[in-house]
Amino acid sequence: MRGLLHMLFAVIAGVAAGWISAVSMIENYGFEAAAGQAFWRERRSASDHPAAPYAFGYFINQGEVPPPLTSRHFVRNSDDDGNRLRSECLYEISGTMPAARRWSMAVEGPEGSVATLGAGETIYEPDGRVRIFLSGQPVPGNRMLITASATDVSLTIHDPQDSDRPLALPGLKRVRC
Amino acid sequence: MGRLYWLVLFMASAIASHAAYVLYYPGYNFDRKIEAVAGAASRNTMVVLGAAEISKLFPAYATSDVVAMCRYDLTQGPMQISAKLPRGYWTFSIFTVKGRQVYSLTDAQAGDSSFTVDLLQAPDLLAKIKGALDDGGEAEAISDVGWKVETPEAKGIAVIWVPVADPIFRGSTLAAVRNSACQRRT
Repeated sequence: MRGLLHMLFAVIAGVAAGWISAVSMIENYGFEAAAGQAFWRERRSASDHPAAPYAFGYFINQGEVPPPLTSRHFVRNSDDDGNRLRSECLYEISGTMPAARRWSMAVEGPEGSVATLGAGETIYEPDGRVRIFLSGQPVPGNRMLITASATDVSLTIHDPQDSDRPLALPGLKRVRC
Repeated sequence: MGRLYWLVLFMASAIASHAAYVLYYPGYNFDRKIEAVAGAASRNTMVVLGAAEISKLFPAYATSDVVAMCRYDLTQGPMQISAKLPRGYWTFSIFTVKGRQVYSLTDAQAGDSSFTVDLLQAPDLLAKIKGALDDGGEAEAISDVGWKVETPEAKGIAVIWVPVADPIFRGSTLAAVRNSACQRRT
């Protein structure tokens, strides 16, 4: 009887440990720090990478289709000072987008994107740079909604000129709160 | 010795549940969640998605883009997907039910604005051996088609994405993508 209890305990504890480690690795191991970027994290995209199932799992568990392998997908949830993004603040994303066929940006929440912006609908600065505001309130110019439950920003570079080298990505600074 | 036994049992259970959660559970979960958003009628037919559906399913696309999706099911036989898209950038991707991308095509690779792709399930080892012994068969019957994709899973999704270069072109882009087809190969 005691042996059966030990076995049951070992199995239940093992299943729990395996499940917790899987959830944790899907959340963290599918992404890596983007080279040369302090706060952007890049999805591990190579399908033959040992972490590929975790990278796919990150999207699938949320009911989302993973970005295509011809793209590079970056996410962040903090500003350039390392502070977590807050819905009551106004942020500015600015810089030059990497050379690519297309880019798109989104603010992500638990139920998917609450706001998206594509390259074709963006107003550019005369020098080709972009200025995009993240705010819960209306703001002139390019603006994406940020809410209390949706504060993760993603940037997808489709068919980039440099598919395996570090990309220079725009910064994200807090304007005011 | 007794403790080692329990430790081995613990490790085996942990590895099994870890592998099951990462490798097998997504397949069950993914199809169910996609169907919840796109509807049951999206099986084996090309559906143009609205902004709400794009925002839920595709983190890499803007809601202003034109996205069409077909939830294919190859258990009843091969499918054929065809489209004639506007000139400019577009992509066509095929994912398995576990979210693994098995095929990708862009306008640059196609060299044309239209394509037809035959989609069939990759034969398992036994079927391969049998096919090698048989003279002819299904694999040979579709060898005249330009593009043929074999997927390791019977179910999955095929996605056409056309980013709209300017909102003024959205109507014509939408009309072109609506003519795409995803149907059983006759």
